[in-house]
Amino acid sequence: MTNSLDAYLILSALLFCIGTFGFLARRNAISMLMSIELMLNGVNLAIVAFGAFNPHLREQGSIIALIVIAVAAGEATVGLAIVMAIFRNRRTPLVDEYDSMRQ
Amino acid sequence: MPYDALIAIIPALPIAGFVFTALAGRRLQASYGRNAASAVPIAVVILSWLAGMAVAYGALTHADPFGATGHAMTLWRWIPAGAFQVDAGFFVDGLTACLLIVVTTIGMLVHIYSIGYMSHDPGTWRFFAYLNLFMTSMLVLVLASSWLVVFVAWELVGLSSYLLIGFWYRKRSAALASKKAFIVNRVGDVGFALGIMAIFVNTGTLDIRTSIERLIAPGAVLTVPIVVVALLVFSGAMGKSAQFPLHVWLPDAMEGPTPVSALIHAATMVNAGVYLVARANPIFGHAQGAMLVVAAIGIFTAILAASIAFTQTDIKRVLAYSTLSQLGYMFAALGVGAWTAAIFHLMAHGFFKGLLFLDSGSVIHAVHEEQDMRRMGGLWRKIPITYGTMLIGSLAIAGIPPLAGFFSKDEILGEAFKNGFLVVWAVGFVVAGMTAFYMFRLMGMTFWGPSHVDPAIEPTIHESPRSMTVSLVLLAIPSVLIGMVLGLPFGGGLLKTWLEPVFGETVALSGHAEAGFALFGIDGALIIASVAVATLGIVVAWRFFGIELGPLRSEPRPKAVVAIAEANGATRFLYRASLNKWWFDELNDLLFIRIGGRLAMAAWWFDRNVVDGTVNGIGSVAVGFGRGLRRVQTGRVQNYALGIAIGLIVMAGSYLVIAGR
Amino acid sequence: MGIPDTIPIIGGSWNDLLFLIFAAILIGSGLLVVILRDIIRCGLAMIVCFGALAGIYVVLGAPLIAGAQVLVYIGAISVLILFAIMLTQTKAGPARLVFQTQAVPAAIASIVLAVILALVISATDWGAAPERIRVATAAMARILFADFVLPFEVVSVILLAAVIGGIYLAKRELEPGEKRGPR
Repeated sequence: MTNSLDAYLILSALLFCIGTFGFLARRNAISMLMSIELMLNGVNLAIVAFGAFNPHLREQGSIIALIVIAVAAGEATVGLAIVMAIFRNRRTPLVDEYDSMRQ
Repeated sequence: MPYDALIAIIPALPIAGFVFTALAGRRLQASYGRNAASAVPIAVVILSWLAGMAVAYGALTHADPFGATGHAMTLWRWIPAGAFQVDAGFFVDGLTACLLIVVTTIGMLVHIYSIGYMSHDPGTWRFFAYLNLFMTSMLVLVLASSWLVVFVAWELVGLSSYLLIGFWYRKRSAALASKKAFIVNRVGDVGFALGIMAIFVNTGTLDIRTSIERLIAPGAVLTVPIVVVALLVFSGAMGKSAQFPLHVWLPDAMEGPTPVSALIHAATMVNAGVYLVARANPIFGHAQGAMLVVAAIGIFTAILAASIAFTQTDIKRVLAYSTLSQLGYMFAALGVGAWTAAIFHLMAHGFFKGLLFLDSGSVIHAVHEEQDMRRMGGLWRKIPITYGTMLIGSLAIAGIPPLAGFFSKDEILGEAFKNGFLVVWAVGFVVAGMTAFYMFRLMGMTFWGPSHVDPAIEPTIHESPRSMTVSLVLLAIPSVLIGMVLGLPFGGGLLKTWLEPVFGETVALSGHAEAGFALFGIDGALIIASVAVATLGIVVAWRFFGIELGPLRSEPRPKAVVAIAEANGATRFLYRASLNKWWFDELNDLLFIRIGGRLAMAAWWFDRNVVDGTVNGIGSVAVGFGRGLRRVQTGRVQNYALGIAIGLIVMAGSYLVIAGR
Repeated sequence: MGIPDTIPIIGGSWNDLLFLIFAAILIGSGLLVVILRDIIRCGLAMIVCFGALAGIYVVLGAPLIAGAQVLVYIGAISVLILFAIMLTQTKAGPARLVFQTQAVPAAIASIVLAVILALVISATDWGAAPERIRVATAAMARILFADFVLPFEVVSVILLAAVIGGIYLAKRELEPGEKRGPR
């Protein structure tokens, strides 16, 4: 199993879908951000898996994964800063109360 | 003689008078009194009369440029619209001349009479302005050379009638009566308008002479049959001249001041219908069926109206029904082919009915605005001039020789009999007797017998002022003479010569042989019969209602009248029917107001709920859609994200499914 | 005595076992992240998840990435998230409802998505090598600073921007009358 690409890819897909569910279903904004991190990680796993099983992408897979990690870090920073700014205004971290654009 | 200028100023002067009085009349009356306000209208009418007489004289003597067939002049091209060309212009021939004589003379005398009659009314300036407007419209009507101009004048005459009937607009009955007159007229006008359209569709022109020529040309291919055209034109005449069933407005029109009744509803406007049919006589000549309809309706109206006049107690109502009856005579004459007789009766009737109305106005003025004959009586000593002229008028209308009515009525009956319309003759014969009866009933109740006048006003009864009596006398003269002047010798006569070019072809077409006048044959017998029945009517009247004329004395017998009315079921019914005007007003009310009103309410319901409902419903559907779709916009990111996810799944899934096949 | 080549009783390689263990922990803790009510516990579960993922990277033969994963994700991002959780606590404590009203459709969508992805993955011929290839760090470093130097620098700039943005966004607005300065 460790030698089958499909297994890693299915694993990555599962992680991604768990992250999707969390993003769509949780009420707290921070939970949503955590789910996004899960999704990013799932994708990262897929990239590394491809890198590991394709001789032409031996190093490139890792490099791309590295870059993804860096960007994810930056994104998490900014996202959390935004959440904190909103929290300061609304006094609630629950996203279903951020509906002032409602028709 | 500058005839074109004269013809143009005949209607131009009164309209100038109207405009001047409408703009300046109120101030003139307020500052300088009534006579200042009425001076201009009267002056223009007198000048118009002079011009009218000059033009009539020229036309009837066949002077240049009239010739025998008349003279047409165009003022300007009114509607230049490709195939639809209408000129505003005038056309004068013998028929026009006869009408001009009647309209301008009676118009002038009524204007003079109104100085005295309206001297207590604050709205004198308005009255004279409207009178001038009416004169203009009537003159344009008889002078017009194009059907469309006739129609415009037709409507203007109706408008003037509306304004004048409702002159005392604060009185509710007057306002209602003027509305009724206008609306009933309108019904007839629809037919007339359709007739004009039919004429245009058939001939492509609206000029009267040209269109008639094209309509009757042999071998003309007509989209609308000529009988239909004739009947449509006649329906307009029915409205304006108050023939059955559009007769209901004329008695109510007596709400207007008496000069109005005299001018419009006796002498001029109601004759417009007769003029219309006479002008269109070639059309009718080629549509024998239409002529039959005209005769039938005419003679039916005559007897209907005469029967109602038997029981009316308002002096003006009796005269109104009498007018209806005489108009019926005129249409009957037109229908049987006695064209000249109809115009003869039109002229004679105009004079003596105008006289009778002005007389009644004088009587009403004398007894202080009382119009009910049951509260009059014994007036002959107190208002002699009025009495004398009214007696002359009554004798004239009854048809006693040698006054005007005898000649004209007898010519109608004679022609009817000789042209084979025996039913028309018989009914007309009976109506002649009825006419004599109710007129002398009126005379008996008003002038003879004991006085039933209100004792409070009895001492103040006085003759009318000079301005009123001069018109009465001036009208009495033609009532006496015009018959002899126009009608003698029998079978020929001045009027016949005048109108020969107008009616000649139609008369020839009808194929009624012009047998000479046989004084000692059929014609003489008919004359004696008519005079006999008229005398019978008068005698019966004075038996029941009294008379004090020279050697003739008789006491009124009111109880006998009542006894006859109550004699048996039939007479009771006839009496009640006559008193209630044969319930025509109630019938109209039921049909049009109640039933029509229900239909209108139903249509309104439909419009409100179905039509508006559909439109509003479409709006509501749109709004509902919007409201529903709005709920997608929750403002929450996660809902939108779910939408994206579902969309992605659907796309991917469908791609898989499709690509997998 | 060394480790036997295959697992004693069951058979199969050690690698497979490791993979399975790490996979189980990964999925399990991932589920916990999205299901747990108390958000701090979610954060902790996320840390465990990241750890398991690092293990899988090692099994895949990319130890550098595993190291980066541990350093960055567990060491920085998770701490950041925990700080944010603490700073956005409300007095009421954890909310009554964990899930949104749309949780059920979301779950269905996720499951369907997973199924589709799994089907696609298994149906595709990836042309993969039969064995996983271990990445040589030296070669990777060489390529990173030669072919991929531009993305490398860009990432640096992104990080700088993120830092500046984060500071600015999270700054407290001044009360009226308050002056900036050493407090």
